[in-house]
Amino acid sequence: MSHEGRVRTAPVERARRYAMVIDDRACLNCQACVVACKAENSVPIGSHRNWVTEVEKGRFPFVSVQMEPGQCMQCENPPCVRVCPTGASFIDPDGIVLVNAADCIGCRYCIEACPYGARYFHEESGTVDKCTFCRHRLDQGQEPACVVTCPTRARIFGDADDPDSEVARAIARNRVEGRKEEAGTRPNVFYLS
Amino acid sequence: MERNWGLLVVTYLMLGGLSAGAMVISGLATYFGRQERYTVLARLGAFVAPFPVLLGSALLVFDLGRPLHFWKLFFAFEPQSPMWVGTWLLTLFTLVSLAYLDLFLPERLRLWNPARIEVWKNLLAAAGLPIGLGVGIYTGVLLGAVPARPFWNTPMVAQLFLFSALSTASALLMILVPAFERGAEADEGRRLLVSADVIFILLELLIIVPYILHGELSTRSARESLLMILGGPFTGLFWIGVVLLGLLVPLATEVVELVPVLARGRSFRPHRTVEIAAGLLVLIGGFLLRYVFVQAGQISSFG
Repeated sequence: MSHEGRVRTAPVERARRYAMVIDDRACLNCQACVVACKAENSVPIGSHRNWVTEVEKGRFPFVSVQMEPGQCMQCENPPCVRVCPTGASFIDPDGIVLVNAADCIGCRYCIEACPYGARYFHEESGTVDKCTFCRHRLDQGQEPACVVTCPTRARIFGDADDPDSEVARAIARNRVEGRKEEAGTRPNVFYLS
Repeated sequence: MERNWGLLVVTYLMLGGLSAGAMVISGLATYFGRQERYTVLARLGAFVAPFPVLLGSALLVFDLGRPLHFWKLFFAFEPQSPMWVGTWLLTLFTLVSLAYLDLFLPERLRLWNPARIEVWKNLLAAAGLPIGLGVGIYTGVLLGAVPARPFWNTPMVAQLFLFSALSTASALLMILVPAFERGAEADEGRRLLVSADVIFILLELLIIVPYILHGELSTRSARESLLMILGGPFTGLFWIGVVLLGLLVPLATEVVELVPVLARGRSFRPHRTVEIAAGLLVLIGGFLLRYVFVQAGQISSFG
């Protein structure tokens, strides 16, 4: 079942390539992004579209705690889309990996295929759900909820194909890296390294 | 704790394997010829083949978040998705195995009565055998095709599941043969099943060893995922349940049963208690194997 705008891999000609740069050194683990996402997208209790992990490094007295916000990496080459047996998972023309709930039968194969653990099963709808980069907000010219709510401005969001955008400049001017890139996923969420 | 994929998926993998194995054994027996020791197996395999997978498919549909939308699988074209390929394999398998079963029914019960029935049996066996192998392998490919789960992400999982499918089906037929067939020819059929199961169990063991060696020599995430069965939460279940009770003990009893035949040329005397005990152990071991793989695989993660 195809539906309009559905593409299997990143399209040659596309409108935009939405991307995010996360400065994890700016993250305080205040969880505001997690709460904002939950409220914005009515994410059920027990499920998350984003999260913050805390990793302790070093040995006393030389120790540090590193925060790292995580979410769907909006991959260019998403394993979740590849394994979907009905074509419900797709990449939209702006490079966002989405689930068309009408075609999702709830087999949950994509949840197993995602190396980032970014997808969850929505008990009520019986379908799989995930981060949409707040597609509905983008359509209204607003940024994703996690981006606008971040008090330390740890997230930069925009069209990476537009050289004048803040996100394109952040990618160009800094050493950025994706997570688990060795999985061949080509993520569109980058971290300052 | 119930994970993303739980007992329904485990049970389906078991039932799909049983059907696949029964079809392969029956198809092979049909190939081998008209002697009664083969037709005993061909007949029983044909009677068994369609039913476990029918139940298993029902469980799979029931396991979906939206079972009533399962038909969408058939209106999609997603050849890169193992699940989509598997859906068609299962459908094809069910149709072929049902048609094949029909030809083994007594004439008055047959839905379809072709003039040259033996030729049709051979043709459907020829179609059913590769499709059966496909279904047996597919259950492992479904898991193995997911790079995000290093515990699954090796082609050896598919081989292991295939050999386990053949072994569990041999075990099931071993238990069932005497209930339907008697006499010296049936005993010969039972000998073939025991002999085949010895080979299938050996193949399983000879996949488990390189599976572990390969993982140990592989990337960090593969090595760490193996900790699930090397000290982690599934260690006891795997080594005692799957390897010892599900493979080694039935292998030993089956070999002991075969020794008088092989060493002293005596005719095979099936020992009913041994047959049932070994068969049940193989079946339980096969279920535990799938349980361990489905559950441990979901905990393992990439990177």
